[in-house]
Amino acid sequence: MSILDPEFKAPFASEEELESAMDSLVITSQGPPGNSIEPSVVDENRLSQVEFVVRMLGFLTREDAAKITCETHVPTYDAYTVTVDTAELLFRSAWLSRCVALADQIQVFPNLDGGMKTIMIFHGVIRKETTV
Amino acid sequence: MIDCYEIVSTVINDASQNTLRGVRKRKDVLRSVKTLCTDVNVLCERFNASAVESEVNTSTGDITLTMYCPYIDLYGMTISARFASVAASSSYIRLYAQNEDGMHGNIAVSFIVPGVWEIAV
Repeated sequence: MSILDPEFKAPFASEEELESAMDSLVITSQGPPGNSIEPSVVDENRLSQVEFVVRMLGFLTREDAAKITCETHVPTYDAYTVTVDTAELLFRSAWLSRCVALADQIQVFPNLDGGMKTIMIFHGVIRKETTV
Repeated sequence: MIDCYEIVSTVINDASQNTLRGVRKRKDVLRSVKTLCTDVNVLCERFNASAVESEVNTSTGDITLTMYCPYIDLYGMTISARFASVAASSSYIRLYAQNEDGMHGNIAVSFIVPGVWEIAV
C-alpha cells in the first residue's frame, strides 16, 4: 500500500460488517506525534485503524452527498488526517467510542455552507524505519 | 453556567406527570443520567456551549440531551475520556450543524439515552 496515496477498501456495506471489523481491530499504543522525515515505513496496523474509520464514515454517510478525504503527512509527517464534510453523523455509541479511542484528535465545526466538517487525526501511521 | 441535570430532570418529571402512564422512574438509571449530566456540564464548559436542550420520546421513552456549541475539539486524554464516557452512556450520538434562524454556526451534539422508565406493576 502506497504511503502517499492510500487505497482503502470500500465503505462498510452493513452494520454487521462494521461490527465484525471493529471486533477484529487491534488497538495498540500510538505514541507521540513524529515529524521526522528519516527513512520511514507505514505501520500497517495503524493504517488499518485509519481504514476502519474511513470505511465507517463511508457507511454512516452512504445516503448523503458527503465528501470524505484522507490526507497523508498532515498535520505532521507521521500522520493521516481524515476529513468528512456532511450534514449529519449518527453513531452508535460503540462506534463513536472506537473512533475516539483510535484518533489522536477529533474536531467538529460548522461549515460555511451550512453543513459540518469533522476532522480526525491519526499520528503514528508512518514510523521511522528500523534496521537490524 | 449550564446545569444539565436540572434541565433533564425537569423534562423527565414533566413527562412522568403529564404524558407517560403506567410507568415509573428507575432509580438506577436516574443515577447514571445524573453522572452523564455531570460529564456533559464539563463538555459544555470546555466547548463554550451556548445551550442545552432535552426532550423525551414518548413512544420509546428515550431521552435526548443536546448541547449546542461553536466547535468540538477532542484532544488529550482527559476531555476525550470525558466525551467517551458520555458516549458510552448513550445508545446513539448524533452530530449535526445547527442552522436555525438566529442560531447559525453551532454544532449540535445529541446524546440519545435509553429511557429512565419501567412498567409499573
